[in-house]
Amino acid sequence: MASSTQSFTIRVLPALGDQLDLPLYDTSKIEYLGGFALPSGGGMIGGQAHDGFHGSPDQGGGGIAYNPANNSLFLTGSTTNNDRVNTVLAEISIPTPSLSAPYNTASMLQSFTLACGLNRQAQVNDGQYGNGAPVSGMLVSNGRLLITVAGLYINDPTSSSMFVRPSLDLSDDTVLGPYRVTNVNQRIVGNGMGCELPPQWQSVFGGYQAIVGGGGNLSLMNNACYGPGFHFFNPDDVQGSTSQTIPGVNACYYTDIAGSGYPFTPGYESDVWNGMSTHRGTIVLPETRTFMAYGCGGSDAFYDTGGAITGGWQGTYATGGTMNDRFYLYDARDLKQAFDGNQSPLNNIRPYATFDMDFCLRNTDVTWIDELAQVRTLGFDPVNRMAYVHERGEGIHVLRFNT
Amino acid sequence: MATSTQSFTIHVMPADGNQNEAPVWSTIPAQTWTVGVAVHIDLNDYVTDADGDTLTFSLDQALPDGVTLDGSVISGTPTAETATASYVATADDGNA
Repeated sequence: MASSTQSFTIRVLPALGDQLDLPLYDTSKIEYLGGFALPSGGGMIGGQAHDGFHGSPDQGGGGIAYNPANNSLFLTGSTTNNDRVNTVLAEISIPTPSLSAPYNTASMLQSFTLACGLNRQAQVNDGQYGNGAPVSGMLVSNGRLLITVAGLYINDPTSSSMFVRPSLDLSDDTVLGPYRVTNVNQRIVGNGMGCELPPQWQSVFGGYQAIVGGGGNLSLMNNACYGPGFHFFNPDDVQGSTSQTIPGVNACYYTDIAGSGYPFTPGYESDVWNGMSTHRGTIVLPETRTFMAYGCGGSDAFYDTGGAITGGWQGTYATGGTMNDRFYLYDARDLKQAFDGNQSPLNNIRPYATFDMDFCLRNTDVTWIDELAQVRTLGFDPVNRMAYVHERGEGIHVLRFNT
Repeated sequence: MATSTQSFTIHVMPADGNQNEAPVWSTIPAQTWTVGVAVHIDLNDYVTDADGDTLTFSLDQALPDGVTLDGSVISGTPTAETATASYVATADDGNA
């Protein structure tokens, strides 16, 4: 008899209602796989020079996104002619990471282009080119590249911050936006891209498919949530008219002190975070109820994992100390409470723990002001559970989040 | 004029010489199911038979609890979480 065969896989995930009963993530399972180097050299775009991946970022800018179609990374670099509003973007391969030199070097899969098109980033900053508007995060979703841009020093609570490249072909110059995502009265929602939600978590959080982060840093002192943020939205909704607000639910964010003055002025600071808090990547795993925000934190006065808030200027900055790269671990149960409206998402949700990842970074002696030029960005591959962290001037670190 | 006749038969064979073609599969996507959520997959959607034969299907191992194979259809509601497992589906056209 004539027959033929076909292989396939089946996996059964926990019941939807059980997601919130899953354990918290055990950070001892994070495995550092090593790093790889980035292509050297810059180039010219539109007659303007740029420094490629090795230029100094503009006040904490930078974005990285995993592209599942190519098992590759989209990565931003410097701005052209140091103009602070035209960030270059390219696609690179992911070579095998090494724990020690010599490191493999990524190859260029798509050469540099302007991430958001010529001068478009300044649109999120009321066209104020001089203040700068760096890319602050990226996410690949459904064949599109979403890019958040942080307008610096603006004072407009309704500003927009998200651009979309409808094609992952960087030779296609089409860029949509900027869009405002969710109606929270914060100046920057999307300062630090989030991630797509695993399907099980989508059902828990109203069918929303992704999170965009929040959080500002010193350079964004007049226009951002201080601390990590979790804003649920659907990436496919980010299209059409830019006058609309993309719907979503704000489950966690912190005081925006715009209009109150300098963030380090006593009496005006957030009661939880301060101007050096950042949110530069997000990780959500299917098997735990921990939602992780990646950013930086200071080594002296900071939100303590034991529950104590120390110092008069709470938060994560280091006044003369060094900055640590840190995961802020949030319990999905807390986010769910705010998502469902059972408590305010503003200032009420605190991380249950933090986890520092300075074990892999080469440049850990970074003081608070230098952090602005060294801030790292994180992209996540949910299938292979790999996180990619860009350390400026060094390369890409690779971490695996084992089960 | 004297004539005579002779009967004979003609059987046109397929180009490859086989009278029967084996079923041809397309890729079955990786299946990610959730406990308590019904599943329904018709294997006929992933296989063709050039001869139009009725196919019978089998799997090399038991499906997750709560899910069965009936004819060409995998259906049911998973009752327990499982790790990722590989399955081999066989389609048989019943002809030599």
